[in-house]
Amino acid sequence: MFNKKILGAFATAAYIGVSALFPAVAQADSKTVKITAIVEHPALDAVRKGVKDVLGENGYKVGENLNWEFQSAQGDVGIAGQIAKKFVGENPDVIVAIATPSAQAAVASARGTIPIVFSAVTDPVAAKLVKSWKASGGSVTGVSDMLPLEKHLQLITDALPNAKTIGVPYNPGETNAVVLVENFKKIAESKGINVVTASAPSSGDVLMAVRSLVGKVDAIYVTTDNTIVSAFESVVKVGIDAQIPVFAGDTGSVERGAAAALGFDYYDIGRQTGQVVLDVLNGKTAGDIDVQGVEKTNLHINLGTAKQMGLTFDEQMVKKAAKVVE
Amino acid sequence: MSLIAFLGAIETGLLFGIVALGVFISFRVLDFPDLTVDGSLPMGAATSATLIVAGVNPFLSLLGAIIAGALAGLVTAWLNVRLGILHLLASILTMIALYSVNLRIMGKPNQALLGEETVFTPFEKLIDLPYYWVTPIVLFAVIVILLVLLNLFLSSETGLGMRATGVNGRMAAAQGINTGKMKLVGIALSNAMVALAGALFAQIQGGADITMGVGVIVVGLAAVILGEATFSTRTIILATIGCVVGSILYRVVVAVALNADFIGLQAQDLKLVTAVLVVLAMTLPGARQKWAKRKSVKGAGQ
Amino acid sequence: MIEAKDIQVVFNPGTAIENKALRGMNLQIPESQFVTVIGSNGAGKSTFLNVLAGEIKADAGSVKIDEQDVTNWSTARRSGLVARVFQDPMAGTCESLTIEENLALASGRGQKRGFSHAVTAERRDLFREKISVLGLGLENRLEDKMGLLSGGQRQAVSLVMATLNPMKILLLDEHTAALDPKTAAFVLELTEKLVNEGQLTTMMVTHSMRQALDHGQRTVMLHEGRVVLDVEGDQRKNMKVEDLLHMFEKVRGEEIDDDKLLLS
Repeated sequence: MFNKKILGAFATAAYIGVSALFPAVAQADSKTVKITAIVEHPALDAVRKGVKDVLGENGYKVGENLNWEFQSAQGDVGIAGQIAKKFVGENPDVIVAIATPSAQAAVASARGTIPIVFSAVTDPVAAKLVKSWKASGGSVTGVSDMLPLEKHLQLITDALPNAKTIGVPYNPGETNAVVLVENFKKIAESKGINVVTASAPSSGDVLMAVRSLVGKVDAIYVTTDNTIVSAFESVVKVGIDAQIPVFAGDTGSVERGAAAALGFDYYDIGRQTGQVVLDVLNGKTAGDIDVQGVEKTNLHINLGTAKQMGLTFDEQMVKKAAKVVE
Repeated sequence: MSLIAFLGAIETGLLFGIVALGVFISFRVLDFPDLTVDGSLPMGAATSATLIVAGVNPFLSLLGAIIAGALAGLVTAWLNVRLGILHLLASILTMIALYSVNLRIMGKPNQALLGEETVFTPFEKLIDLPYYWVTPIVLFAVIVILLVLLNLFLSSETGLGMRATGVNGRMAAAQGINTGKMKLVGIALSNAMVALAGALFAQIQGGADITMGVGVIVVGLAAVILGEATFSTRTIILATIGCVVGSILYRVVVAVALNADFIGLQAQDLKLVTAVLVVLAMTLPGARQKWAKRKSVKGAGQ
Repeated sequence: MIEAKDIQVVFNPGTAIENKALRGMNLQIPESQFVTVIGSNGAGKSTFLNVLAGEIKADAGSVKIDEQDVTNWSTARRSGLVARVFQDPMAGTCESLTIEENLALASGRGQKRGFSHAVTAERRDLFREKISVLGLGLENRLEDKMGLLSGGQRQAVSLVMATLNPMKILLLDEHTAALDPKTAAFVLELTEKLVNEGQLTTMMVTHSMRQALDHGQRTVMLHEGRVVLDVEGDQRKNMKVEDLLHMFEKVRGEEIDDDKLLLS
């Protein structure tokens, strides 16, 4: 039995030796794209697919003229750092980093030597990935998944012209959620609308948090906060019981009961990112490209639950909708 | 693998070697399972990042992180020593509380440090080598200093008293050692070290993130145990060095696993591959011993 | 002088398993006296020793060491006054520490511990000297882990450890009970030697009436949490085990049926 162990050990040693001697071999005349995400998650996976599809549509075929490598940090910030270093050491044409911790690790390791395109980072300026949304030189750019908050606010005020206060449940431990809520508050208040928040550090706390908004708000708005979204049914229940219309930041929630949502698809964000990657591969300097926000939005409406929440949409809005759920 | 990836593994290994030393103090020296580290690592990161962004000197921010970590450790030990709460449970309580505390410290779940001056900046200017050499060199110096200080402490009268507390508390008390005090000091020291690692980590990684602490205890223990399996534990000095060796070994294994795609393994398989390689690394020395024994027994029989 | 006055200890009071372990223990041990304590199971001898050591708090009564009331002092606090050898060789030493480290721990008993090196060359010389007295060759193995030693060797080292620093009372807690007869004899001989050399005030709890009479100057017998017999001097000099038994029957009007006590 120990022989197998020795064999196994020798195999490991040989493998380590080989992999040390032969780093990822690049083919001549082909481009190398290394892509990483902090964790595997439907939204982040969709971004990756979007990037790959756009590259494919523009003549970059994996195995022919495109070296493509993906590594997931499996939720571990330490591993994200090691992945970043591995990528930098392999000197690709561009590194694509999905989500804030992976993007920060990539930028810290590359030190400006390799173009980096981030994606699905809500506030790239706060994350210190770029100095501003406008092209500011350097070698970093990307696509933010910051919600088009003005459009969301517009949606709510169009549906409820008399709304004065909006309630927002959120998880104070999610970076993106915190940023979104702060920004939404600023925008709403600049338009004379109050925002009341309720915090729910885990999905089990959502019901109670939303209940605390009853009697204080005219509408409830849920951002793309993973915690709240994961317990979305609780939010809908309170909305129906207390006759408070619930609006969401992502379209998936409309099927689960939100009255309406102006959402975007992470796949579309992926495609936008792919376009940026394409520009970089074709010679453009990353630092000369503006950071992009979400461009394509779709309006989804749920007439059934809207009615239960005491809300009727006018004809115009229903016509504009990309999808209507009865 | 590339030089940068290899040096990156050494660098991360040295950094988590500090964590491993902290875990060594609680788990091995004091026999006190301490999960506080899942909260004190990000606490160190949060404290350091917040201080640096507020304009404080990065070296002083390390001091802030160390103090924060020590306080966290004191809370856990106090819950156990004074209130009689089971050590494991006490550490979990503190870890949970630290989540909120860390959010309060940063004011948000992520505090970026990219572009800010760190403790590594002056060394990068001083040493005429690329940054991916400078960081591991500085960390190596830090580890050496910590190893020397820790071993001086553990071989001192008080340190010996702390070791006795973990091995045989009843006998230690009979020799006049205040076992309660030893636990307070030891757990505070352990978490102070982990918080220091957190602070350095944030400065290297470009930011402090509230999720940084998840799984730290597992990584720390893996390093300690890997060190024990592959390195000698005959004396305390060797055991502490072993913790750092184990941590580096673990990170090299991860780096190798990241390169496993050319034999058909994919990104999702990373943790599985890492685990398998760790098992191989642990059984190799044992297999060697068994083989030597077999040989001598065979010879004796003839 | 050690003075225990009216010590009462009740385990699990008010429950179905209430046990009145000590019901008014009174004992005075003058300086330099070597007293042996016997009693059948449940007589209270271990409990009494633990009260003196500080591991069990008396529910009533007081313990005074040289007029100092130490009744409420913790084990660690009174460790400067009390030295102890445990019954279980493993309980009294740190297995995973080396012999010299164990000795270094013991040489800190009763003193302030600072940050100076615990095992200095100076101390090592002292330890070597003290350990060579045992005649076991351990002085050449000071860097071995304690766990490598046999039970007898460990008890011998424990005795040396206990007597490294001065104490007001040396407590021997059935310290040969876990050893085979030959080794037990060796350890008892060593005990006599060290106690005589240092004129140490000693209390030895033993399960054996033989041992109790053969060592020390005074024998105290406990029964049901109290002292029932106390013999010393001429009365004790030529006593045999049967004599002790008869005395007991006279005092208590009952026979002892504890085999271990009678036959060992």
